[in-house]
Amino acid sequence: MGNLIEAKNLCINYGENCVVHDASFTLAEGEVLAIVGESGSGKSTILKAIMQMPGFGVRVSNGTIDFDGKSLLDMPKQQMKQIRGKQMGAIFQNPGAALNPIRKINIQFLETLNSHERISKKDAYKRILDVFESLNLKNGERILESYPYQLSGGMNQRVAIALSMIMRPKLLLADEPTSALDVTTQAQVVDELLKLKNNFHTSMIIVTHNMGVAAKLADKTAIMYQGQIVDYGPSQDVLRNPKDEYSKRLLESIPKLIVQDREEKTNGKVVLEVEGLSKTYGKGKNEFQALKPVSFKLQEGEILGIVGESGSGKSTIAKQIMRLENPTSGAVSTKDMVLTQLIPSEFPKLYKQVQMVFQNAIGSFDSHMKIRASITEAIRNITGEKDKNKINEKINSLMEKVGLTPEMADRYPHELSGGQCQRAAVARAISLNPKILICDEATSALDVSAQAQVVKLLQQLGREMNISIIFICHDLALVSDMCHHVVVMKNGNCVEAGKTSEVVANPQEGYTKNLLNSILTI
Amino acid sequence: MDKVKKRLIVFGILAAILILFSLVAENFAPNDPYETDVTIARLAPGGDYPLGTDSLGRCVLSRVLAGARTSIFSALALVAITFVFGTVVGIVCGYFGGIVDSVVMRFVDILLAFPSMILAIAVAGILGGGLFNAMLALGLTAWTVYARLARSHVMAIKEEDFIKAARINGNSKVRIMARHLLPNVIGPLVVNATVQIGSTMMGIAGLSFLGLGVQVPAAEWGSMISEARNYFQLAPWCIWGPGVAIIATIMIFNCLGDAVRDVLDPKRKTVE
Repeated sequence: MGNLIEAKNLCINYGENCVVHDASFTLAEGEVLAIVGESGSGKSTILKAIMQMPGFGVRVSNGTIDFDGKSLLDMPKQQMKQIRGKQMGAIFQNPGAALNPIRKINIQFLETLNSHERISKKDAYKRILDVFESLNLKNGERILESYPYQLSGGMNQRVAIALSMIMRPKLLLADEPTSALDVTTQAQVVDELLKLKNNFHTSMIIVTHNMGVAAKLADKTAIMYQGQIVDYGPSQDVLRNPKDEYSKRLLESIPKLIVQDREEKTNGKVVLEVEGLSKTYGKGKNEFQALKPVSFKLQEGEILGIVGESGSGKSTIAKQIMRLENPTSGAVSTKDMVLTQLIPSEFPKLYKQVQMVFQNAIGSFDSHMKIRASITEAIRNITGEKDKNKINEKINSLMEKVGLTPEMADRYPHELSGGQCQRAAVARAISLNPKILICDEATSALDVSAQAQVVKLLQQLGREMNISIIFICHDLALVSDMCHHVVVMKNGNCVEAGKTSEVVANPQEGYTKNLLNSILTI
Repeated sequence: MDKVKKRLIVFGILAAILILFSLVAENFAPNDPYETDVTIARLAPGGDYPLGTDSLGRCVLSRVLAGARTSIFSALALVAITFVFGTVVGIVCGYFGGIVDSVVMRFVDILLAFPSMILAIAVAGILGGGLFNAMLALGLTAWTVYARLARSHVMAIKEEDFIKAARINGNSKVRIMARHLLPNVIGPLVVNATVQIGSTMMGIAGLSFLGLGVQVPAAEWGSMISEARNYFQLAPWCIWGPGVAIIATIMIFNCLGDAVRDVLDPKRKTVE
């Protein structure tokens, strides 16, 4: 079989900035190529260059891309448009982006079909339902009669895949197709893409930062770092025996599912006790119980994992403990006070003992203030320290503690990378010497290497400063790698809780098993 | 120094010069701005009257200079007061929500339900003529725009993580509103305020035209234009003088507003 895509010595620019250097790869018919790497490594740029969409601002400054033996770069615009429409399909990270939110799904499918060929409504429906069936999408008619907002994110993504497959393209370009989804939905979407590969022999280029997705789907994998392909070859070779130094480090940072008993490291003293905590939003008809009564204990020096899909009530627990919201019922208490009984004027006492790190690192700092000003605010408000020099000294030492330079404190949040900013957020949280730190998806928005660094930092701080950590996360593999105890949440219920090693090795609940099975390993 | 700051300084200085000049402008008038002489009515520009004379033979340039203080200060003061009041109300309503918010916003709805000029005419009519009453009448509805704008922006950002972070870092509610919410919502408000300077000038002029604002024969740019409209085809220079003055003033304040907005946005600083 010939090569569908052949790229040689590609250099791609945004304006004057060269973001991809000298990239070469080939893709045979029916083959799947995964491009993996950190954010900013130039992965998506390659997809944009292949699509040659006007308005992306990408310019190929050197090298060639051939599609089916013809050069894409020299092709007249009209012909390129034809190829894009009929022979290439694309899916994106945000499934909503591909679907018009105010039109029913069926209209969007018919529109796509009608713009390419004359087809009767009956034939069109048959063809659409055929595609749905081959992708294992059940209740095709019901889906077609729905609006995008009536379907879940995962379902929208699967519909978007079906939409891009309706013209039976030879090549499917997927830009982070699973990154916005929960682990269980991610597993479904990956299965669906596998079916495409097996049933239709569609060639695919998948851009992802999830090595598990690459390992499961791709025949070939390219690892990118700072605009260059540093490792390229059959997926098995690249992901199991990376040759390049960077690839090795990257693959080492992936959290792996492990069973390890960490009980001996904690001393059994309880620092935080949550009893029957629940939260109901709204009233009357709009009433929604986001959190049904949960109870758990946090021991001194341990890391407690709370795992679950989005909407399972994980973050709601954090908000109740921090008293950002008022819980509907239940009690949260530390050794010397009942947090749920505090009145607002007593909250500083709570803030002194319990601090929190948020998912969106950059968004958790006021964009109008330098990092130093934000941390200063925390120290001054809670500890009452007024001496500017003392505060600055403290901030400098904190910055070094979290692996940043003191100079970085004098930047604005958007001038730091996500990983750096999250470290700064950790620095702010520990500036008050809290006993308990709540991390709400603190590493979920980071790529694997930054995630590994932040996790390591948290573990180290937990040991050195004797901080107990509640680690809220949707990645069970990561939790198994760092947490002593785990609480598994679903739809506001605590479905399983216990020692991480026991839950992982011997899950009792179907949902936990499902979560474990959804983890994609290399 | 970057471009944005330069622009702020340039327009800041221009605005300052304009304000200072308007304070002393009266003294530069070549003729008595109030002296009428029908024999020289509607003289074309030239000679003793650089910008011509109006239908009562008054020197247009002198009247423009004499009216500068009234026009600029009344508009500026009104915009400043409504801006501050409306923004504070909007931020407080947006942040706290609940019953206070509902009550205040329904009151705002009532005020917005009337065409603002008609309401102003009614209020000024009840209170009687005079510059202060005219300003009061216009200010009655002007603040609602700022309140609405500030409230909607606050509602959008108050659930963001940095506000939660500010709370768990022990900031008081007042401090969160002043230090974290205000800088994040002020951009569009400042731009709105600079636009309002122009329309406020026109509003005061409109009331003056009806005899409810600045009283005859006091000079004021808006009322000068209103008067001159009647014989616009015979003596267009009567509109040129105050018209150019209004345009220049509004332009300077608009550019100043844009520059302030840009300086307040930290993301712009690193991009440029």
